[in-house]
Amino acid sequence: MTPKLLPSLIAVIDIGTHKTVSLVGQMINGKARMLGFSERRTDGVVKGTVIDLERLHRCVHEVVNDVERSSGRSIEHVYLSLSGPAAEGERIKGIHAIPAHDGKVTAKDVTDAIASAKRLEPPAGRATLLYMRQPTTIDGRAVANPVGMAGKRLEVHFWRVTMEEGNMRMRVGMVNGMSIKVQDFILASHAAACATASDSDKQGVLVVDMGAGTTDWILYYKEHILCAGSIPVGGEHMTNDLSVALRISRETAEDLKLRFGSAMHREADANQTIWKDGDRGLGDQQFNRGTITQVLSLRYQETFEYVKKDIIQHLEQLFPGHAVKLDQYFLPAGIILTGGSANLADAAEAVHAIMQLPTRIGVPTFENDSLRKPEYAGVVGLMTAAITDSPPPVRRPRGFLASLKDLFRF
Amino acid sequence: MGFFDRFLGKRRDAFMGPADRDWRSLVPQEVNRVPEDDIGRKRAVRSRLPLVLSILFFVALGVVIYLSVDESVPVAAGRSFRYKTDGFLPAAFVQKVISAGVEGPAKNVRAIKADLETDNQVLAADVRRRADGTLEIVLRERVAVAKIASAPPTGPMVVRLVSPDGQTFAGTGYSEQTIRSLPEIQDFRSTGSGDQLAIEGIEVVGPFLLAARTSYERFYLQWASVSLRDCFGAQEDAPGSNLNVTVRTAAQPTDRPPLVGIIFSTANWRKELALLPRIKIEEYLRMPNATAQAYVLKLSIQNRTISPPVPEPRLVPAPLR
Repeated sequence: MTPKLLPSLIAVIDIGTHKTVSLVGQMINGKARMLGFSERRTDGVVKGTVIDLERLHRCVHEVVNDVERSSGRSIEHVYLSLSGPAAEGERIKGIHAIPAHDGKVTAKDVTDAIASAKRLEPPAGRATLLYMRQPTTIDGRAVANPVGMAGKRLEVHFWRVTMEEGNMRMRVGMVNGMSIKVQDFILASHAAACATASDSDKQGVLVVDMGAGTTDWILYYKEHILCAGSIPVGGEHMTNDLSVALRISRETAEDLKLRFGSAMHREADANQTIWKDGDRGLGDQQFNRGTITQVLSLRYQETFEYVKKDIIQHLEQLFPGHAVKLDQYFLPAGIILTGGSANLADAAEAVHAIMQLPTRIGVPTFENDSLRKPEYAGVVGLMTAAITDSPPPVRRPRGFLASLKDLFRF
Repeated sequence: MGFFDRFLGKRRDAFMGPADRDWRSLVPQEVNRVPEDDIGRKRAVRSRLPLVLSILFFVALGVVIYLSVDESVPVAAGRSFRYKTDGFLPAAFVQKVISAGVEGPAKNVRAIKADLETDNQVLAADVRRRADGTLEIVLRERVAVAKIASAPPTGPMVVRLVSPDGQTFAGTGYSEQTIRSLPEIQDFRSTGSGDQLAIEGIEVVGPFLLAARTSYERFYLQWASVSLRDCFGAQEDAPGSNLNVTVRTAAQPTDRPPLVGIIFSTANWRKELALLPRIKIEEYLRMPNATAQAYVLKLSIQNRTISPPVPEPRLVPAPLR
């Protein structure tokens, strides 16, 4: 008799520069159902880099505590997001020569090719965090499943994400310090793509997750990850620019950015005068809206030019000698812009103008309305990616004592 | 990490090749059960509290069950009790039994049960202690099917009730009307006295009266007495052994001769009882040739030399007294 399986508990934590978000859900029939959610302002992280581990530990622990209370479950394993320049990606491949007697690829050949790919050493001092599958080729032809096909040379490709070992130990150690084990790492940009892009989009799409401290991007082609990267520029830089340009505090700059900011500068903005508080009383300051939009749009433009440059660099490494162009033939689904900074007015238009590709704001598809916002694409996508790529182990049915414990849960 | 892995497995401080660079291999993730900081302690308490509460719940449940089940624990003095019976014994009787004895009200459940069952009227007593410390007493009483006039060693004659299994008891709680309606067993031989009184022939007359009371109550209520003069007890198949029932005449019509008795054979009384409702006694007694002063219904021909008796009901004139 097959034992009755129980829905697996999935907990994800997305530690961003601006906020730390945690989501607990259950996997029922392959779909996520939310049980608890918690969000706090991140402490101890600047531009995606941890500067105070103790403060970050406390902040994440409070998030975990909140989400445990809201979900009524104890978290024992979590999926952690990987973002920022600390996580570096590279393409690796494993080559396997098909035995000549029949020339057909067997499952063992594929296993051998994968093993040969994973034998490649990561750069010195770095630890491998995850492998993401890329197209498999037989004699240079891309195939979905090579088993049974004829050929001479089998190549499997992976996008390997590595991190400096100390940084990785710090993250795992921090989570372990809360009596929680890390189930797996998930690339933040891949998570954002899982939440916002459909399978048909993944025929060719660039997903850009623009957070507060970093902008992570991932490029999908023919349903596989082609490359991914991150630049240490985000929404906080815009706030900082505004603060410097207008000689105001960061808080005021953030407030003005959210209320009057735009990713596109228009001539008409120069004619608009805005007031900081709006009461025009003593201490209230007036600004020219054109200045604000100009500062923001310039930073937006610069950020996406960096992104474009980074993508081109990656593509040149992947396809040396080929002039790869980021156009609609290569990326028919265009660009999906998500993350907190995607909330800036005219963001999609600005990116379209810079990248010359159709752009839309990526809103995660999730059962809970409050999480259908671009800033939650990462955390929702973490859960989706956890179910798709690295599902948690199936839980055994609970015993009588465990069921009795549930009676007293509060 | 297991014992053997720790001492005989790969050394973690040595680089064992690219496979060793996987983060899972680099960080074994041995977590403490309770995190060190305040939030961690709160979380640990919250996650373990259900287990602790479950254990406490089971312990409390066990204590309650133990106290309820253990019959040797004394009953709390002065506690009220719930009482239920299928007969006539009043609550005052139970209260008296609980309070009686050397231990008084401090006696335990087992002692109360034993004391209740010493009375012949009680067939079985179920005494339980409830969770709130009160007692729950359920009595099953013996059914009285007849009465006897018993002469105690001293004092006047007393009426005692008889159950189908031959036990005699005082009939506490029975109304006078109920006692009066019971047939009296007469002409019996006995041994012992009081509660120990044993009636010879009760093994025949007891089931007979119980069957009559249960299935033929209309006739049973008319019976004034049952004489065991000709009942040979255990030798119920003996020819001529019978149960002589005296019928009450007061309730019978005066325009016909009364039926004063019915004679059942001890060997065949079940068939004869079944026959009784089918006999048109009223019609026969009103026949023109029914000229005797009173009649007796004999249900079988009983020949002292031929066994078994032959069922043949007939009305015979009652002998003159």
